[in-house]
Amino acid sequence: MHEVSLAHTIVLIAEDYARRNGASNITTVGLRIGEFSGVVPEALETAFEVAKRDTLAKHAQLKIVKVPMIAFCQSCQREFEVVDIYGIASCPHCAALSHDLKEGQELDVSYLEVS
Amino acid sequence: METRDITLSVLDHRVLGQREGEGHLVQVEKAVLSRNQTIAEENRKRFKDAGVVVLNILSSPGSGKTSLIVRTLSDLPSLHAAVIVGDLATDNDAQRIHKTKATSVQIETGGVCHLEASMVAEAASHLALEKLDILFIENVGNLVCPAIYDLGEEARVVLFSVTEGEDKPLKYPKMFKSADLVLMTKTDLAGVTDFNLDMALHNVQLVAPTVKVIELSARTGQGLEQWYDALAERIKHVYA
Repeated sequence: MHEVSLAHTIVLIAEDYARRNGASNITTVGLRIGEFSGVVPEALETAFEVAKRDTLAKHAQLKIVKVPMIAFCQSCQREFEVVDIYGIASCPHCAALSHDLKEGQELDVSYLEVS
Repeated sequence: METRDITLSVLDHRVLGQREGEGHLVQVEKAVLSRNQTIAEENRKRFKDAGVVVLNILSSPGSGKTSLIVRTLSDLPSLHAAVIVGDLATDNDAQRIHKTKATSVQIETGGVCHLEASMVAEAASHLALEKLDILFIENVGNLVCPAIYDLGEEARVVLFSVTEGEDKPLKYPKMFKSADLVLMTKTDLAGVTDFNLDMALHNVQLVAPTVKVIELSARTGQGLEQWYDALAERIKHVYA
Protein backbone atom coordinates (compact mmCIF):
# COMPACT_ATOMS: atom_id res chain seq x y z
CA MET A 1 0.00 0.00 0.00
CA HIS A 2 2.52 2.62 -1.12
CA GLU A 3 -0.63 4.44 -2.31
CA VAL A 4 -0.87 5.90 1.22
CA SER A 5 2.54 7.61 0.88
CA LEU A 6 1.71 8.66 -2.65
CA ALA A 7 -1.66 10.16 -1.66
CA HIS A 8 0.06 12.14 1.08
CA THR A 9 2.65 13.45 -1.42
CA ILE A 10 -0.12 14.35 -3.88
CA VAL A 11 -1.86 16.42 -1.19
CA LEU A 12 1.43 18.22 -0.37
CA ILE A 13 2.01 19.05 -4.04
CA ALA A 14 -1.59 20.22 -4.46
CA GLU A 15 -1.44 22.43 -1.35
CA ASP A 16 1.87 23.92 -2.48
CA TYR A 17 0.51 24.90 -5.90
CA ALA A 18 -2.79 26.13 -4.44
CA ARG A 19 -1.01 28.43 -1.97
CA ARG A 20 1.29 29.77 -4.68
CA ASN A 21 -1.83 30.71 -6.57
CA GLY A 22 -3.52 32.29 -3.57
CA ALA A 23 -6.21 29.64 -3.41
CA SER A 24 -7.63 28.24 -0.19
CA ASN A 25 -9.90 25.53 -1.52
CA ILE A 26 -8.91 22.77 -3.93
CA THR A 27 -11.90 21.23 -5.69
CA THR A 28 -10.19 18.88 -8.13
CA VAL A 29 -6.78 17.24 -8.39
CA GLY A 30 -6.08 16.02 -11.92
CA LEU A 31 -3.74 13.03 -12.12
CA ARG A 32 -2.13 11.21 -15.02
CA ILE A 33 -1.47 7.57 -14.17
CA GLY A 34 0.28 5.16 -16.50
CA GLU A 35 -1.13 1.65 -16.93
CA PHE A 36 2.32 0.43 -15.88
CA SER A 37 2.98 2.95 -13.13
CA GLY A 38 2.76 0.37 -10.38
CA VAL A 39 -0.14 2.27 -8.84
CA VAL A 40 -3.68 0.97 -8.39
CA PRO A 41 -5.98 3.96 -9.04
CA GLU A 42 -8.77 2.60 -6.80
CA ALA A 43 -6.33 2.18 -3.90
CA LEU A 44 -5.01 5.68 -4.51
CA GLU A 45 -8.54 7.11 -4.44
CA THR A 46 -9.23 5.40 -1.12
CA ALA A 47 -5.93 6.63 0.33
CA PHE A 48 -6.60 10.15 -0.94
CA GLU A 49 -9.88 10.31 1.00
CA VAL A 50 -7.84 9.89 4.19
CA ALA A 51 -4.83 11.99 3.18
CA LYS A 52 -6.93 15.03 2.22
CA ARG A 53 -8.53 15.47 5.67
CA ASP A 54 -7.73 18.78 7.37
CA THR A 55 -5.93 20.11 4.29
CA LEU A 56 -6.75 22.61 1.54
CA ALA A 57 -7.78 19.56 -0.49
CA LYS A 58 -10.42 18.39 1.99
CA HIS A 59 -13.23 18.98 -0.53
CA ALA A 60 -11.21 17.81 -3.53
CA GLN A 61 -12.03 14.98 -5.90
CA LEU A 62 -9.43 13.11 -7.91
CA LYS A 63 -9.80 13.08 -11.67
CA ILE A 64 -7.62 10.38 -13.15
CA VAL A 65 -6.55 10.09 -16.77
CA LYS A 66 -4.98 6.71 -17.50
CA VAL A 67 -2.03 6.61 -19.89
CA PRO A 68 -1.70 3.45 -22.01
CA MET A 69 1.50 1.45 -22.01
CA ILE A 70 3.51 2.12 -25.17
CA ALA A 71 6.63 0.12 -26.08
CA PHE A 72 9.11 0.45 -28.94
CA CYS A 73 10.00 -2.47 -31.20
CA GLN A 74 13.67 -2.44 -32.23
CA SER A 75 13.12 -4.73 -35.22
CA CYS A 76 10.16 -2.85 -36.69
CA GLN A 77 11.37 0.57 -35.48
CA ARG A 78 7.89 1.47 -34.38
CA GLU A 79 5.86 1.97 -31.25
CA PHE A 80 2.99 -0.24 -30.20
CA GLU A 81 0.46 -0.33 -27.38
CA VAL A 82 0.92 -3.10 -24.84
CA VAL A 83 -2.45 -4.63 -24.04
CA ASP A 84 -1.22 -7.73 -22.22
CA ILE A 85 -2.44 -7.84 -18.60
CA TYR A 86 0.98 -9.01 -17.41
CA GLY A 87 2.74 -6.16 -19.19
CA ILE A 88 4.47 -8.51 -21.63
CA ALA A 89 5.50 -6.18 -24.44
CA SER A 90 5.24 -8.39 -27.50
CA CYS A 91 5.22 -6.54 -30.84
CA PRO A 92 1.91 -7.14 -32.68
CA HIS A 93 3.76 -7.05 -36.04
CA CYS A 94 6.77 -9.29 -35.47
CA ALA A 95 6.12 -10.80 -31.99
CA ALA A 96 9.55 -9.69 -30.73
CA LEU A 97 9.70 -8.87 -27.01
CA SER A 98 10.55 -5.29 -26.16
CA HIS A 99 12.26 -3.95 -23.05
CA ASP A 100 11.90 -0.36 -24.16
CA LEU A 101 8.89 1.37 -22.60
CA LYS A 102 8.04 4.80 -23.98
CA GLU A 103 4.88 5.59 -22.04
CA GLY A 104 2.73 4.12 -19.32
CA GLN A 105 4.90 4.67 -16.24
CA GLU A 106 3.64 8.19 -15.52
CA LEU A 107 2.44 9.26 -12.12
CA ASP A 108 1.90 13.00 -12.35
CA VAL A 109 -0.22 15.71 -10.84
CA SER A 110 -1.27 17.47 -14.04
CA TYR A 111 -3.59 20.23 -12.82
CA LEU A 112 -5.74 21.54 -9.98
CA GLU A 113 -9.08 23.24 -9.93
CA VAL A 114 -9.23 25.74 -7.10
CA SER A 115 -11.55 28.36 -5.76
CA MET B 1 -4.61 12.66 -25.12
CA GLU B 2 -3.85 14.29 -21.78
CA THR B 3 -3.38 17.67 -23.47
CA ARG B 4 -6.85 17.43 -24.88
CA ASP B 5 -8.21 16.58 -21.45
CA ILE B 6 -6.56 19.61 -19.87
CA THR B 7 -7.81 21.88 -22.64
CA LEU B 8 -11.32 20.63 -22.06
CA SER B 9 -11.00 21.34 -18.36
CA VAL B 10 -9.85 24.86 -19.13
CA LEU B 11 -12.82 25.38 -21.40
CA ASP B 12 -15.22 23.88 -18.86
CA HIS B 13 -13.87 26.21 -16.28
CA ARG B 14 -14.09 29.27 -18.40
CA VAL B 15 -17.75 28.52 -18.81
CA LEU B 16 -18.11 27.69 -15.14
CA GLY B 17 -16.12 30.76 -14.13
CA GLN B 18 -18.30 33.02 -16.21
CA ARG B 19 -21.41 31.50 -14.74
CA GLU B 20 -20.42 31.33 -11.10
CA GLY B 21 -17.68 33.91 -11.04
CA GLU B 22 -15.27 31.63 -9.15
CA GLY B 23 -12.95 28.69 -9.61
CA HIS B 24 -9.95 28.44 -11.85
CA LEU B 25 -7.43 26.00 -13.19
CA VAL B 26 -3.85 25.70 -12.00
CA GLN B 27 -1.39 23.86 -14.25
CA VAL B 28 0.93 21.65 -12.20
CA GLU B 29 2.61 19.00 -14.40
CA LYS B 30 4.69 17.57 -11.59
CA ALA B 31 5.73 13.96 -11.05
CA VAL B 32 4.43 12.72 -7.72
CA LEU B 33 7.78 11.06 -7.10
CA SER B 34 9.85 14.09 -8.11
CA ARG B 35 11.09 14.77 -4.58
CA ASN B 36 12.18 11.16 -4.17
CA GLN B 37 13.82 11.31 -7.59
CA THR B 38 15.78 14.45 -6.71
CA ILE B 39 17.10 12.88 -3.51
CA ALA B 40 17.88 9.65 -5.39
CA GLU B 41 20.00 11.59 -7.89
CA GLU B 42 21.82 13.29 -5.00
CA ASN B 43 22.47 9.88 -3.45
CA ARG B 44 23.74 8.51 -6.77
CA LYS B 45 26.18 11.41 -7.12
CA ARG B 46 27.36 10.97 -3.54
CA PHE B 47 27.93 7.22 -4.11
CA LYS B 48 29.71 7.84 -7.42
CA ASP B 49 31.99 10.50 -5.90
CA ALA B 50 32.84 8.10 -3.07
CA GLY B 51 33.59 5.31 -5.57
CA VAL B 52 31.20 2.83 -4.01
CA VAL B 53 29.01 0.40 -5.92
CA VAL B 54 25.47 0.48 -4.54
CA LEU B 55 23.06 -2.37 -5.16
CA ASN B 56 19.36 -2.29 -4.31
CA ILE B 57 18.46 -5.85 -3.31
CA LEU B 58 14.77 -6.61 -3.81
CA SER B 59 12.49 -9.61 -3.43
CA SER B 60 9.44 -11.10 -1.73
CA PRO B 61 9.77 -11.73 1.99
CA GLY B 62 11.76 -14.92 2.52
CA SER B 63 13.49 -15.21 -0.85
CA GLY B 64 16.89 -15.20 0.81
CA LYS B 65 18.15 -11.61 0.65
CA THR B 66 19.82 -11.66 4.06
CA SER B 67 21.23 -15.19 3.59
CA LEU B 68 22.78 -14.20 0.28
CA ILE B 69 24.30 -11.03 1.71
CA VAL B 70 25.69 -12.83 4.80
CA ARG B 71 27.17 -15.59 2.65
CA THR B 72 28.67 -13.07 0.23
CA LEU B 73 30.28 -11.11 3.06
CA SER B 74 31.77 -14.22 4.64
CA ASP B 75 33.02 -15.60 1.29
CA LEU B 76 34.65 -12.29 0.33
CA PRO B 77 36.34 -11.11 3.56
CA SER B 78 38.60 -8.62 1.75
CA LEU B 79 35.61 -6.75 0.39
CA HIS B 80 34.99 -3.43 2.12
CA ALA B 81 31.25 -3.68 2.39
CA ALA B 82 28.34 -2.17 4.25
CA VAL B 83 24.67 -3.03 4.36
CA ILE B 84 21.64 -0.83 4.82
CA VAL B 85 18.78 -3.04 5.95
CA GLY B 86 15.17 -1.98 5.59
CA ASP B 87 12.49 -3.76 7.56
CA LEU B 88 9.00 -2.91 8.69
CA ALA B 89 9.96 -3.86 12.22
CA THR B 90 12.70 -5.70 14.18
CA ASP B 91 16.43 -5.57 13.58
CA ASN B 92 16.82 -9.35 13.23
CA ASP B 93 18.32 -9.10 9.74
CA ALA B 94 20.77 -6.42 10.85
CA GLN B 95 21.76 -8.68 13.77
CA ARG B 96 22.56 -11.49 11.32
CA ILE B 97 24.69 -9.15 9.24
CA HIS B 98 26.29 -7.73 12.37
CA LYS B 99 27.96 -11.14 12.89
CA THR B 100 30.01 -10.50 9.73
CA LYS B 101 32.72 -7.87 9.44
CA ALA B 102 30.55 -5.49 7.47
CA THR B 103 29.01 -2.38 8.94
CA SER B 104 25.24 -2.43 8.93
CA VAL B 105 22.69 0.31 9.37
CA GLN B 106 19.14 -0.60 10.19
CA ILE B 107 16.17 1.33 8.86
CA GLU B 108 12.97 0.40 10.62
CA THR B 109 10.34 1.86 8.35
CA GLY B 110 7.65 1.64 11.02
CA GLY B 111 5.17 -0.05 8.74
CA VAL B 112 6.07 1.72 5.51
CA CYS B 113 6.21 -0.95 2.83
CA HIS B 114 9.29 0.27 0.93
CA LEU B 115 12.49 2.27 1.30
CA GLU B 116 12.60 5.83 -0.04
CA ALA B 117 15.63 7.78 -1.18
CA SER B 118 15.50 10.08 1.88
CA MET B 119 15.73 7.08 4.25
CA VAL B 120 18.78 5.83 2.38
CA ALA B 121 20.38 9.30 2.46
CA GLU B 122 19.96 9.39 6.24
CA ALA B 123 21.27 5.84 6.70
CA ALA B 124 24.24 6.46 4.37
CA SER B 125 25.26 9.48 6.44
CA HIS B 126 26.29 7.01 9.16
CA LEU B 127 28.72 5.26 6.79
CA ALA B 128 32.25 6.11 5.69
CA LEU B 129 31.34 5.74 2.01
CA GLU B 130 34.86 6.54 0.74
CA LYS B 131 36.23 3.46 2.50
CA LEU B 132 33.71 1.10 0.91
CA ASP B 133 33.85 -1.01 -2.24
CA ILE B 134 30.22 -1.93 -2.09
CA LEU B 135 27.02 -1.02 -0.31
CA PHE B 136 24.10 -3.43 -0.31
CA ILE B 137 20.69 -1.92 0.33
CA GLU B 138 18.44 -4.72 1.49
CA ASN B 139 15.00 -3.36 0.70
CA VAL B 140 11.78 -4.28 2.49
CA GLY B 141 10.61 -7.72 1.36
CA ASN B 142 7.89 -6.75 -1.09
CA LEU B 143 7.65 -7.07 -4.87
CA VAL B 144 5.15 -4.24 -5.34
CA CYS B 145 5.88 -0.95 -3.61
CA PRO B 146 9.71 -0.78 -3.71
CA ALA B 147 9.57 -1.10 -7.51
CA ILE B 148 8.73 2.56 -8.05
CA TYR B 149 11.21 4.16 -5.63
CA ASP B 150 14.65 4.98 -7.01
CA LEU B 151 17.09 5.02 -4.08
CA GLY B 152 20.11 6.24 -6.04
CA GLU B 153 21.45 2.72 -6.58
CA GLU B 154 23.74 1.75 -9.45
CA ALA B 155 21.80 -1.44 -10.12
CA ARG B 156 18.75 -3.34 -8.97
CA VAL B 157 19.11 -7.00 -8.09
CA VAL B 158 15.84 -8.92 -7.84
CA LEU B 159 15.80 -12.29 -6.09
CA PHE B 160 13.34 -14.99 -7.08
CA SER B 161 13.48 -18.23 -5.11
CA VAL B 162 12.47 -21.67 -6.29
CA THR B 163 10.08 -21.95 -3.33
CA GLU B 164 7.90 -19.30 -4.96
CA GLY B 165 5.61 -19.82 -7.95
CA GLU B 166 7.06 -19.92 -11.46
CA ASP B 167 4.68 -17.11 -12.40
CA LYS B 168 6.12 -14.52 -9.96
CA PRO B 169 7.51 -12.39 -12.84
CA LEU B 170 4.06 -12.31 -14.46
CA LYS B 171 2.41 -11.32 -11.20
CA TYR B 172 4.95 -8.58 -10.46
CA PRO B 173 6.11 -7.39 -13.89
CA LYS B 174 6.91 -3.87 -12.72
CA MET B 175 9.56 -5.18 -10.35
CA PHE B 176 11.07 -7.66 -12.81
CA LYS B 177 11.14 -5.12 -15.64
CA SER B 178 13.09 -2.74 -13.41
CA ALA B 179 15.74 -5.37 -12.58
CA ASP B 180 19.32 -5.11 -13.84
CA LEU B 181 20.05 -8.61 -12.59
CA VAL B 182 17.79 -11.46 -11.49
CA LEU B 183 19.07 -14.05 -9.03
CA MET B 184 17.23 -17.36 -8.98
CA THR B 185 17.86 -18.40 -5.36
CA LYS B 186 17.59 -21.61 -3.29
CA THR B 187 18.24 -23.74 -6.40
CA ASP B 188 19.28 -26.60 -4.08
CA LEU B 189 15.59 -26.93 -3.18
CA ALA B 190 14.29 -27.05 -6.76
CA GLY B 191 13.90 -30.85 -6.71
CA VAL B 192 11.98 -30.80 -3.44
CA THR B 193 9.46 -28.19 -4.58
CA ASP B 194 8.90 -29.55 -8.13
CA PHE B 195 9.82 -26.09 -9.32
CA ASN B 196 9.81 -25.82 -13.12
CA LEU B 197 12.99 -23.83 -13.68
CA ASP B 198 12.58 -23.59 -17.45
CA MET B 199 9.11 -22.14 -17.09
CA ALA B 200 10.31 -19.66 -14.45
CA LEU B 201 13.21 -18.52 -16.67
CA HIS B 202 10.84 -18.22 -19.60
CA ASN B 203 8.53 -16.00 -17.52
CA VAL B 204 11.43 -13.77 -16.49
CA GLN B 205 12.40 -13.44 -20.14
CA LEU B 206 8.83 -12.61 -21.23
CA VAL B 207 8.65 -9.71 -18.82
CA ALA B 208 12.27 -8.57 -18.95
CA PRO B 209 13.72 -9.82 -22.26
CA THR B 210 17.22 -8.42 -21.77
CA VAL B 211 17.88 -9.11 -18.10
CA LYS B 212 20.71 -11.42 -17.01
CA VAL B 213 19.76 -14.29 -14.70
CA ILE B 214 22.09 -16.16 -12.32
CA GLU B 215 20.95 -19.37 -10.64
CA LEU B 216 22.43 -19.91 -7.20
CA SER B 217 22.14 -21.36 -3.74
CA ALA B 218 23.51 -19.42 -0.79
CA ARG B 219 23.32 -22.64 1.26
CA THR B 220 25.36 -24.98 -0.97
CA GLY B 221 27.35 -22.28 -2.75
CA GLN B 222 26.22 -23.47 -6.15
CA GLY B 223 26.35 -20.64 -8.72
CA LEU B 224 27.87 -18.11 -6.31
CA GLU B 225 31.00 -17.70 -8.45
CA GLN B 226 28.92 -16.09 -11.17
CA TRP B 227 27.39 -13.71 -8.63
CA TYR B 228 30.83 -12.79 -7.29
CA ASP B 229 32.08 -12.26 -10.85
CA ALA B 230 29.15 -9.91 -11.46
CA LEU B 231 30.07 -7.98 -8.28
CA ALA B 232 33.76 -7.84 -9.24
CA GLU B 233 32.85 -6.58 -12.68
CA ARG B 234 30.87 -3.71 -11.20
CA ILE B 235 33.50 -2.83 -8.60
CA LYS B 236 36.25 -2.82 -11.27
CA HIS B 237 34.02 -0.55 -13.30
CA VAL B 238 33.97 2.02 -10.49
CA TYR B 239 37.74 2.09 -10.18
CA ALA B 240 38.34 2.18 -13.96
